[in-house]
Amino acid sequence: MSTQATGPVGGFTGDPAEAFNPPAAGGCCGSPATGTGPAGGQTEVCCGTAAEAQESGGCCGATAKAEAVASGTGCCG
Amino acid sequence: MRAVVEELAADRYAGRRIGTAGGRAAVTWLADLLRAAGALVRLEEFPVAGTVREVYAVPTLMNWSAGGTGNPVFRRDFCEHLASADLPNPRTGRGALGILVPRDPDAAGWMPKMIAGPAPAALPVLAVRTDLHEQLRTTSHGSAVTAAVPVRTVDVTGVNVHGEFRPPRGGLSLLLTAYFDGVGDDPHGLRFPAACDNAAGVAAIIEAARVLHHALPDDIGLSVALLDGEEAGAAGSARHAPTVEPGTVVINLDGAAHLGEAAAVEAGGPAGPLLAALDLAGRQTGVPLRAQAMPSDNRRYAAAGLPTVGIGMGMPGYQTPAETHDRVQDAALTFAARLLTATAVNLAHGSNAGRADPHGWADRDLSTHRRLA
Repeated sequence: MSTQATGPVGGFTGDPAEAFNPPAAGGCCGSPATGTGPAGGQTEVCCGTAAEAQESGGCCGATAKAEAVASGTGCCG
Repeated sequence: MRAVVEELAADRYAGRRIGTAGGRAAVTWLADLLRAAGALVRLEEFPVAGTVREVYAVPTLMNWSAGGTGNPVFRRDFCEHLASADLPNPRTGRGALGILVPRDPDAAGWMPKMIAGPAPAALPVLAVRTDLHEQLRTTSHGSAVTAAVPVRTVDVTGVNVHGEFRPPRGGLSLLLTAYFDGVGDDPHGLRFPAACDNAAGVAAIIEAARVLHHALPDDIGLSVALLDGEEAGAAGSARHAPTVEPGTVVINLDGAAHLGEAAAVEAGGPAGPLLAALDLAGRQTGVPLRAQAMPSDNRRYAAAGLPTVGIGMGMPGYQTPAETHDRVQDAALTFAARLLTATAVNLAHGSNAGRADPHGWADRDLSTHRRLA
């Protein structure tokens, strides 16, 4: 769909619960997400690992994000 | 919504970087907009130290080698590297001057800008278009370059804009969030309008809140948070998330410019009912959804234990001068606002996967947005 969505095509394809453990965007950004849904769960981020994100003080690993942008894959918040 | 996007992308906001006059002007305008929509507005200031990298003058790079390219253009042929030391004045050297690293431009030939990244190194660093870098590297006699890299770390003050449309009354409380900050203009006036990332998201959540304010049952709480400093490590949500009342349901919108094949959704916290409501809303409004990582402010709220979804709908021209308001599709704005509105209504009315839309909310929202888009 480009922007012409119509009624029957909407909603999740597959199990909505996959959103708790989503794959990284195509070509972006570093480690795939392996997050857990429940509160307090440790969530891996797509721009590097959770540890890198924590070290960078953000929701992405800053170095991984920079590399993803630098390589032209673009990403992430 | 179109008017909000065009306003935030206007010259007077200068790319809306956190801690700048343009960013503060956006705060003032957004606060007025929320008040006009019926919200009780509160501003939340917070410091951000040691994070924001500022290019305070135009970097230069000249290649003096035989067969060299002469005078590469900043942001097209080369750009700042966030790990660079400050080199304010041009210096000529061969080898020991600093580091040139290869970088590919985007499809339109721009080198995207960021303001937070790796810790600064001891040497100046520039990112150079990959083919030019290769040319420099393979020049038979070595390359002599003249370069200046005026980049420094600045401490700034961010401002979140909170709008409470309905106070929590002990029942369901909804919080719609989107960041409004950008990476700011380049020092020579090259504009970074940040229309897609994330003026479009801001426009859509404000529109959804306006509709919901008049449509939700009286016992439902409704607030919006327009967040500063997402480009600086999601600083605004880091400040705000720990203060949100437990149990508040959070929906963050990160981009609403180009829907593409589907909207990306990431969930965190105890968000099962929220996901079910979103799934139903997607079917009601015709917006396809797919599970995909959304590393944005939503993660701050999820980490605070709140039921949260982050939704993304495309950012053409990501963090380049090409991110202009005309890249934001009206249809994407409308779909985003409808999706948020229907999700909130489904939550309020206790959605489940098998339920239809007995109140006609989606159609009601559609007609409203057709008038307002």
